[in-house]
Parts: sequence; C-alpha cells; structure tokens
Amino acid sequence: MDASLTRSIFDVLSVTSILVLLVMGMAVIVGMMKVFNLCQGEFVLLGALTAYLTYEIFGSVLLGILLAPIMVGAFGLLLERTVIHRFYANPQGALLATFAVGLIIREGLRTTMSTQASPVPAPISSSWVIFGATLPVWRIVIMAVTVALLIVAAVILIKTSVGLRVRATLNNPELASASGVSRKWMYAWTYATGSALAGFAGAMIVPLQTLYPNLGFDNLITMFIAVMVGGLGSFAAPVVGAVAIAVPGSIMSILINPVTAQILIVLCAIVFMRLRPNGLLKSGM
Amino acid sequence: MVIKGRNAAAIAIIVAIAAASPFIFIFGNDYITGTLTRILILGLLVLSVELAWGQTGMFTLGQAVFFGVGAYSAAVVAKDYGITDVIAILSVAGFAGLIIGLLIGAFLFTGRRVSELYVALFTLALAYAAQRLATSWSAIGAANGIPGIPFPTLFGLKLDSGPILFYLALVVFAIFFFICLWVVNSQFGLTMNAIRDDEERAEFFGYRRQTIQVLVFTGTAGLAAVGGGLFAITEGFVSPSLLGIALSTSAVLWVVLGGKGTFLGPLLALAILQILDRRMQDAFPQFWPIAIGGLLLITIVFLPKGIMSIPQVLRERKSQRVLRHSAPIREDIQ
Repeated sequence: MDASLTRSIFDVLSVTSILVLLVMGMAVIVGMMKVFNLCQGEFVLLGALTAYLTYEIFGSVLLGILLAPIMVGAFGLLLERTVIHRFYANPQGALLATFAVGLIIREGLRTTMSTQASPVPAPISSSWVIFGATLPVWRIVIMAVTVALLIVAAVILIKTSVGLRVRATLNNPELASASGVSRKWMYAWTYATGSALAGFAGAMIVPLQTLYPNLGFDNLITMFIAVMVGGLGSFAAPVVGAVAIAVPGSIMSILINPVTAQILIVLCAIVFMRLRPNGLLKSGM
Repeated sequence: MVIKGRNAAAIAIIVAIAAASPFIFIFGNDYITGTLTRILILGLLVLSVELAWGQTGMFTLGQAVFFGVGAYSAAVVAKDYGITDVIAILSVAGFAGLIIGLLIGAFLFTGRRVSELYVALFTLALAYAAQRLATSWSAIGAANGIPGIPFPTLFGLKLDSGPILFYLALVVFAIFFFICLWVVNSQFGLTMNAIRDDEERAEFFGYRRQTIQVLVFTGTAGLAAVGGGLFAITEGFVSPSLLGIALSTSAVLWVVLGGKGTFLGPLLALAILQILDRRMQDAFPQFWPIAIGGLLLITIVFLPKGIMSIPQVLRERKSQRVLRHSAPIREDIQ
C-alpha cells in the first residue's frame, strides 16, 4: 500500500469516527428522547471550553477531557429540570427553546473570549508512520475511544437494568411509570447523559480544531442530518446515519473539494430523508 | 373583505405610518429613515413566515433563502443587465422566489405527509447549504457579495434619496400587507388554518392539502423574494448572510416574540427590535445578542403566544383568582 492511499483511508476513518463520537450524545437526546435539541452543538462547545480552561489553568488537556462530561452533564441536568421538561408535549417549543439556549451560550462565549480562536494542544502530539504515511496518534486515540464508547453504550442499553428502564420509559412512559420507574428523573438523567456525551466529544475533538464560538453550531447541521438519515427511535440508528454521511462525505472531499462535497452531501441527505422519512434502519411507515 | 377589529387596527397602522412620515422627515435624519425603510422591508419577510408558519403550520426555518434569492436576482439584474426599473426588478426577484419556492414546496409537500419538524430541519439545512454555496460561488461575488447596485428608477425617474426609497418600501409593503390580510380572511385562509390545526382532518374533509400547502409555500417564497429585491435596491449591496440561518431564525424569532397566528404582533416585535437594535449594539455591543436569546427563551417558556397574548394572559390570571376565591373546585377537573 502506498502512502497517499493509506493517508486517504486513514482520513476517512478519522472523519467518520469524529462524527460518530459527536453524534452519540445526539443519538440519546434526539434519537431516543426525540427532543429536537438545537443546543446540542453548544454542549460540544462547552466540552471544548472545559478542555481549554483546564489547559490554561492546570496545563492539562487530559484533565479537561475527564471533567468535560461531568460539567456538561451537570449543565444538561440543570437545563432539563428548568426548561426542557416543559416541552416534551410541544416539540416546536423545544426546538425554539433549545435554539435560544444555544444562542445565549454561543454569544456568551463570544463576549468573554479575547481572541477569535484559541488552539488547544492534543494530549499526545506524536505520530506514527504506517506504510510511509505519517498518522497523528491523537486521531487514532479518538477512533479507539469512539469504538470503545459505542461498545459500552450498547452493553449498558441492552444488558443492564438501567438500560432496560431507559428504553422502557422512552418507549412507553405511562406503562413505565406505572411499573415503578420515575419518569421525571429517567428523562432528566437520560438528557444529562446525552449532554455529557456531547461534552466529552467536544473535549476530545477540540485539539484537532480550535476553540471558537461557532465550533458547535458549525457541526450541528451535519449532526442533525446524520440523525435524520439514520432515523429516530433508537440509539443505533443515528450512529449508522453518521457513518452513512461521513464515509461518502470524506471520500468526496478528497476526490472533489471539501465545500462542494459538503453541500452535495447535505442535498443528498435531505432528498433521502424525504424519500425515507424513517431513516435507514426502518422501512416504510 | 369584512373589516374586523384586528384588520381595522392594521389598516390604521399603515395609514398612521403614512400620515406621520412627513413629520419624521422634517424632524428625523437619514438614520431614522433608513431604520424605518428596513423595518418595512424585513416586514415582508416576517409576513411570509407568518403566512407559512402562523397561518398554515409549515414550520419554515429557512425563509431567508427566498429573501436572499430575491436580493441576488435583483442585484444581478440591476448591475449586470442595467435594468433599473423598480417594477421590472421586483417582478424578476419575485418570480425567482416563486420558482425556487415552487420547486422546494413541491418537493416537501406533495406525496407522503411529512412532520412539522422535518420541514423545520429541511429548511434549516437548506439555509445552511444556500449560504455555503453563495459564499463560495465566485460568479455572484463569493463572500464579498455584490456591492454598488445602482439606484432604481420608476418610469424613468431616479429614486435616489432616503425618503423616496422609504415611500417606495411603504407602498410595496402596504400592497402585500393588504393582499395577506385579504388571503387570510378569505375562504382560502380558513382552509389554510384548517390545515394548520389538523392536516389529516382537513384532508378527510376533502381539501387538497398538498395543493394548498404547495401554493401557500410558493406564495410566501415569492413574497420573501420581493422583500429581498427591495432590500437589494434600497441598501445597494447584497451579501451571503441574506440567505443564511441567522436571518431565517431572526424572522422566526420576530414571529415567536410577537405571537404566531397574528400579523400585528410579529410586525410590532420586528419594529421594536429593529429600533432598539442599533442603539443597543452601540450601548452594549456584547450583551445584545445574549439578551435576544434570553428574551426568546423567556417568551417561549412564559408567553408561548407572544406579546400579543399579554392582555389575554392577564385576563385569565384574574378570572382564575376570582374562581379560587368564590367556590372550591374539584381537583380532578382543574
């Protein structure tokens, strides 16, 4: 295998793993809870901010990566108990309210940041040479973490009693609460988990990009399209959607140019969403 | 058309603006004229969102796409082809909007029914893609947009001063405002409301849900595009941000703040925010966007029907208080 082909395959895998990592939180909140959460991008941003702050204060990005899910998860819990829980019967209201929350966070960061963009270094900055191509280790770490996290999430959802309760509550809230599951706290903690995943993803990917106020919002549309292509109603479908968007998208941006590729992917995805409104994993109505 | 209370108020406002405008120019300045002109132009965009979403239930988060299409086509026609006649420019802009609107409306609303949120996400993604496209397309100026659009003419007369452009915007706005009122008060308007309230039931009653949705969507796209065309010739430049998510969501924000389902509320919200906008951006440049977000959040949580519902909410509070004091109410029917 020659170096450029290795590099291309690596890029495709890397872009895909990043999108899957970003979409996981959304798979919980949008996919499972069906809350159209327009501030999901800002959860990613808050995670990235945590990593940046721990780097500035304690000199450690790794600490930020560990703290990000806790901080953003706590924020998500607070947000659910104050705002989101009012809108489970009113999806339009949820969409607008989360948009407002996202706007506040985004603009709040824009006012407090002294520079336009702040770089955050990767905890591991070395790279490996494989088949003549130089591959940054941090991207490989992200791939490994993404796969590990997927396995953990699947095991929790399928094998544990917590996972069973979550699925039960989301599928049939009345029956679940009649069976003794606290619907209120189940929703709150599920939302918090989704936020924590997004915060973690933000802290993981910020070394690859830089910290800037639109970091989350720029990823939001792609994340949403991945969820819609995959389909609502489960954790797995959005993840499949992310792969289905990222693989052709990254191949096209290598072959043509990134901007055209991105516009084409968005257009293809929305046409696909129209033809199969239930996404890849479900057929028919 | 029967002139009911709300419509009478709307007509009164138009007449009042027209009557007050000479005083504005005597005592006002270019800044005030410019702000008022912009309110009228963005008013067309607000009307189109209100018609599509507030009256017909099509949750469009990308209405600025049509505004931008109108603005860009007006700019190209005026600058590259040298056509400066207002009627010709606005017709081209409106027609461009109608075509794009028809294509997108037909794609979205014919065939199987789609959920409201799908429409929202679709239009949001569209606005995103449109802005990306305009930013990277060098034929229409890429990120710089198209500057230096010549002043419009009407029957050979050059419309080249602030007050004249204001009256132009006022006339165009008034024409379309009355068309909107007429449509909403007609039988067709009732059908639109029926589809908004329950698509399925309207279909069972035999209304052609698909045709009506496509028609209304196309019409609102044309309306927004006329607004965009007017923006291009009065401001003299267009840029990719006219097509994008920011303006689209602002239009929805004005409708939410003012009260979805009314014409007056959204226009009022637009006017208030636009008048405050420049001053607040001078006074608190950093906190103004945050304040807008906060305002939106508070409105959605506490006043879901917008500022127009404040009297109603207060009345309900009062009557609840009276009820509580007068007689015990069974808890299960509360």
